[in-house]
Amino acid sequence: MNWEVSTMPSKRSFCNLTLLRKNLARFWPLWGGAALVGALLPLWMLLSLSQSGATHLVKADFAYAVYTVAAKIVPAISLCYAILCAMMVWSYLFSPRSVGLIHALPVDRTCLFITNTLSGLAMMLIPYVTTGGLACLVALGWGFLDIGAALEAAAVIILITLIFFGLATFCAMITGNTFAMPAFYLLLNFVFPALEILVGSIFQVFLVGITSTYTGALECLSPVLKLYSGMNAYLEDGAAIFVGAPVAAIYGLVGIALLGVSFLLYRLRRSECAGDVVAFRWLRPVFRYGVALAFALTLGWFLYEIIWASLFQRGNYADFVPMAVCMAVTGVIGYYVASMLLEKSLRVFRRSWPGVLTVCAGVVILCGCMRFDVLGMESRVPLQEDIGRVTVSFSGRDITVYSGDAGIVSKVLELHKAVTADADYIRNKERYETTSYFYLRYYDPDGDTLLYRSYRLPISEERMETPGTYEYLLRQLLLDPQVMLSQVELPQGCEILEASVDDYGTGSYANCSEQEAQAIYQAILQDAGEGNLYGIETIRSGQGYPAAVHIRAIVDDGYDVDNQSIYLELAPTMTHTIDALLDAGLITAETVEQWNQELGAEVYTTVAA
Amino acid sequence: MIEVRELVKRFGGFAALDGASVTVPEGSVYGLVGPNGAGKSTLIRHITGVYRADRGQVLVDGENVYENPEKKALVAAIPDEWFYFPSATIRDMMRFYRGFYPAFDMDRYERFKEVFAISEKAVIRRLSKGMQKQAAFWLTMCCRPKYLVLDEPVDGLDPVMRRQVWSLMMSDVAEYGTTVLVSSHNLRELEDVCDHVGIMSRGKVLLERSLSDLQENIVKLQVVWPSAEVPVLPADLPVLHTSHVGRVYTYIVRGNAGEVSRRMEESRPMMLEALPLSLEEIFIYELGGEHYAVKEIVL
Repeated sequence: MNWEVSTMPSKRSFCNLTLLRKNLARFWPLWGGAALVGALLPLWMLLSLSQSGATHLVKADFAYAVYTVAAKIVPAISLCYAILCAMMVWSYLFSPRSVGLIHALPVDRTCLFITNTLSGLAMMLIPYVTTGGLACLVALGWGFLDIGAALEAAAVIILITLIFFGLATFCAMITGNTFAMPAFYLLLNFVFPALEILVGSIFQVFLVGITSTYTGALECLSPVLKLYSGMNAYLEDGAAIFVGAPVAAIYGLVGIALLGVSFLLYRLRRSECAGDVVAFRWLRPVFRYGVALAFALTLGWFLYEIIWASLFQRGNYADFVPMAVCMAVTGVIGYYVASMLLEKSLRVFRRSWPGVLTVCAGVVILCGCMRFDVLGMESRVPLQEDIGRVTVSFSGRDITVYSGDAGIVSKVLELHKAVTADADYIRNKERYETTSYFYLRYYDPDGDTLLYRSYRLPISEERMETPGTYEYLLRQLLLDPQVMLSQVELPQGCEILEASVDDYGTGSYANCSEQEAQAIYQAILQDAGEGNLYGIETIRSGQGYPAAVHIRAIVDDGYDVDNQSIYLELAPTMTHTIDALLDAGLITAETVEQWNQELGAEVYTTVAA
Repeated sequence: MIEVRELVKRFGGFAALDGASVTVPEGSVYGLVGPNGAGKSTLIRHITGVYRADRGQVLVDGENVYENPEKKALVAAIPDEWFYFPSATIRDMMRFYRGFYPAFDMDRYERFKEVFAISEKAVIRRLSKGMQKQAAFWLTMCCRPKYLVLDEPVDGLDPVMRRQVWSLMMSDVAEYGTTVLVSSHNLRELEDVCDHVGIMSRGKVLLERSLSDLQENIVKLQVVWPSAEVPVLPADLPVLHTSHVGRVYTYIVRGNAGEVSRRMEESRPMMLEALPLSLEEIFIYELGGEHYAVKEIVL
């Protein structure tokens, strides 16, 4: 028998139709079920249109609907559905028996990879095609189909499919374990934003002024979050607008790149790794130390909080040594857990000691770097030229200073530097003394947050008179009439609607007309200009009235109506404002007299007059 | 011809194959034997193109088989644990195999329906272990491979079906020149069908030759010495094993039966008889030097 002739494949093939058909036939419940669920949407559309006989719908409505689905629904669905499809088509890699059959077949890895990838993508896209196709037919029947929008949405959906299936395939290639694959997928989708929050939180417990806020700096490493924040759909002038096509395109390309990397890994991957948590030896240290780090940062911190912070910690900030010990202990546990998973054995202790020592040393160094601020986060103050604007908030009062007010920005920076210079003083005093909240948020010229710091500052009378201290600089800043004005100035074109007074003592509330409100606003501006507003001096002397004035206004730019308001606590120094409130009848002379008596101050001169 | 040259395969720190070399001549039935963990299944997975060698070569008809679809199309295998898709019937798996093996013989598939007497619509998962093995033979033999590679092939088959499948394979060998490489622990069965044997231990092939050569190269001598005192045998006589019952001594000696008997007669035995060894005995005594002898344990 001429074996070569009878058994030779006819030509080199990049896709095996038998395997493709087999994949689709084996996993039809998945894509068939998804298509069926998806088909409910056009069915609902059809029924509701038949019911209402809606004739007012236009192409823009259809376009807006498909854009919204592509931007806000498809990323979430694809995130979940991609891992299921990838788990199905790559499932043979996770069992020695199945990999033994598939890899013994007379096809090469290139053909296997392409065929399985096409199967997975087909399984992902069939439900979208079914849903979209039926929805288009319904829209066509009612005459509001926008083919351009449908094609644009279809392109976006394909790009989203590529990124999630690419990522899921990448996860399938780096592991040989069915359970590890979705875990890696979830991790890769969310680990970087989670890490930002986690590390920020640990910095917060060590360093003065640091607050764990999600800045989204690492969001681009989380496809699902970035797609959500980067894509949107809205209606403008009767036309539907889709925002974020470039974001989808970039992630689509990343998906293709991930499939390329996965192909290379598939060719390198050894069949015998079926069942292993990590498929490549060079990835094992990454897994071991990654798990150790994750354990140290999460469980280590948790252990510290339940054992040390609640019982032994003095002050508001974490103690270095107990935290380092907790992190080292949990890091070592994490290292052992990872080793056990890799070795598929509980007997890993004897051979793990070099790794354990590395973990302990690494965790202690990391913890030390955070506590002793090696990165200089605590002392970080932005450069004046980088600042577009800065918002300062002290005891609930916000001040916004723009880069044009170079003098005030410079004062803010000087104040911030003084605060950071006194970090140890604040750390020691914060827990035992009354503190005032002090926030700083710097923005760059594009309006993005540059730096955010929040402090609880102990305010000392003595230091307030000492030049160079943060209390002194804060007082100078807050007493600056320009700063006072910035607290109360409403934007240009603002229309004042009403003014009211909240009396905390009696719980009474009174409001007045638009004209009287205008007069009250002018009086507030006058007080601000003279430096009379409720401020640091009022807090310092405790001479504030138990009442606040509230002015409500709107800015209408023809498109949007923006609500504005001023809420000011009253103080005896605000003479012009008190006069205007008396004139408007929002407060009475008797009330003011009573407030003064409660404060033990001299009777207000206007009242006496 | 299948040639494996100096094949090395390590799993972690453990060398499953440590320089194994095998030559399976075309048209032969080659029995691969060895103790558990010797590396037989690992070697077979290299020959079927599943594993990539760390070092060495696995050649089918002179070409590397790994990532070589043309050569893999010549090889069909039944592994020790045959894989089928969870809900697949025999017919489903037939369609699957047919899509990959260009020489898949549908006429043979139809004819085998009578041989194996299993419904092709039966879901394989629900069949007994023996019936699953029959299904594996059914489909694999329909692929009409040039090289049939079998790992513990008849485990789970009843005696009648064992004979039936061996008969089918032997007829393929005779009629089409199919080469069979079979790994098994059932040495009595292998002795009946194999013409070549390779003995593996600890990742190496200790010896391989035709069964007749093997049997000619080791002999069992039963000797009765004239006195209770056993004479000293020639130092260069390669005795693998000695045992005795009373004055009847049994020697397993490596070498040609005539030559070994002549050397032994120099020691003037009262009676000497040369007996052929079964494959099982050869296996046991050859591996005795590899610290794998049957231990006489008294509990």
